[in-house]
Amino acid sequence: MNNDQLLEITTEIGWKLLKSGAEIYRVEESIRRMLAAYGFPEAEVFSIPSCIIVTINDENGHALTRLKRIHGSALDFDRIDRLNNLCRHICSEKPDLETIRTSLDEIMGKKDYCFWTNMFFTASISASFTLFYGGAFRDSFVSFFIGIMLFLLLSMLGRFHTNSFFQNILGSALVAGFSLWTTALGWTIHYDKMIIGTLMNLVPGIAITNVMRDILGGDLIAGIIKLVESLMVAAGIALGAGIAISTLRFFFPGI
Amino acid sequence: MIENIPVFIYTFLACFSFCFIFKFHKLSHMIAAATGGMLSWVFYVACAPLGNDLAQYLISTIIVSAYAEVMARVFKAPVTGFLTIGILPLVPGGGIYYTMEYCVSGETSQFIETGIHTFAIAGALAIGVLVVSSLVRLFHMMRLYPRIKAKFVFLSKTLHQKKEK
Repeated sequence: MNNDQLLEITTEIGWKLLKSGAEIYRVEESIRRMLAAYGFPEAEVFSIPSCIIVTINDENGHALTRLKRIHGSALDFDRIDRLNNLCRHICSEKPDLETIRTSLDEIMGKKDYCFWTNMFFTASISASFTLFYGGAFRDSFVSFFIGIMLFLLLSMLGRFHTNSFFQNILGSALVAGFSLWTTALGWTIHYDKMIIGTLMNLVPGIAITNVMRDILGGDLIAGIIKLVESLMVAAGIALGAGIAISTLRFFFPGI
Repeated sequence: MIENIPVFIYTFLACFSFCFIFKFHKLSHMIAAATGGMLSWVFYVACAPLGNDLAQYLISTIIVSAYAEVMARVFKAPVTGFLTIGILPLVPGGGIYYTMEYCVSGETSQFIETGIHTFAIAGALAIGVLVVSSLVRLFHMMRLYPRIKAKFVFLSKTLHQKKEK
């Protein structure tokens, strides 16, 4: 394979790793090792959560650069695992372009969990976290259905490509509103536990754990970007729930 | 401890459900990750005699991060997934909510107190993760560069020889 194809395929693998929520140092290290395996030990790789830049120098000293932009990432553990194994395989065996393409297509084409599975487990997260934070069984039962509504709202907003800040505000307003309303009707007991439990679906888990690991690996810019991202999510959640609670308290005084 | 067993089961269920959202595909990975989530809460409760919840958060984060590193080595899989699931029960969701609640109802002193406490919990989680991953990286480096070690041995030997002469 020629240098252009090599650059293209390694950048694509890195891009897919980053899109599946891998840490920055893993992405940079994978690309660097793959290029080193094909005879470019001097390759330069730079990555932040929103883009990757890779440069190699060919035999004549001519620099080749590839830049790829990333729009949003979501943790996909299985994909990171398989891409990681593919990288190890590439570094040890040095297969040709066709083989890499086939296995990459196989990884990207694997079937995902269906809509209903995702919906059921979003609802189940809400129900079990409500119990965990000290809610009663009645609360958890109602939280299950609020979780379903949250999932439907988020998937609808996702289809219209709304930004995530707005999604979080609307989602958390929906959750807080319904929880308070059911408590006001007397169906449930602890509306605060229900809100905390259901909103665990929106809490930026990956961002929080990856921030420290990125900063530790020397990627300060990536760490700061993720920190700001998770603060934005937290602000969105608090804003939405705050609006819904103060509005509903106006209609149902005494809660 | 015994009265907390239902809570441990809820934690396990919650973490197991999160495995599907984070797209785990192998049952063994899911069970390992969800057990990590349960362990974090078990150790949080077990450290209750310390009487300081920041210490509780710190200790259980350190234990669960070490567990995640071990599981990553056992299954030859990235550590991020196990770590993210394992830390979930410790994430201060309640703290964020009550901070917002006090802000909305206008109790400023309570708002500031809860807000700072929530930040401290987040800091404890971050320090726990940081300690374990830097230790792991240190061990990894020590194993990765036997050549450097060999060089040190060689240097010390030559020094000894010079002294003997």
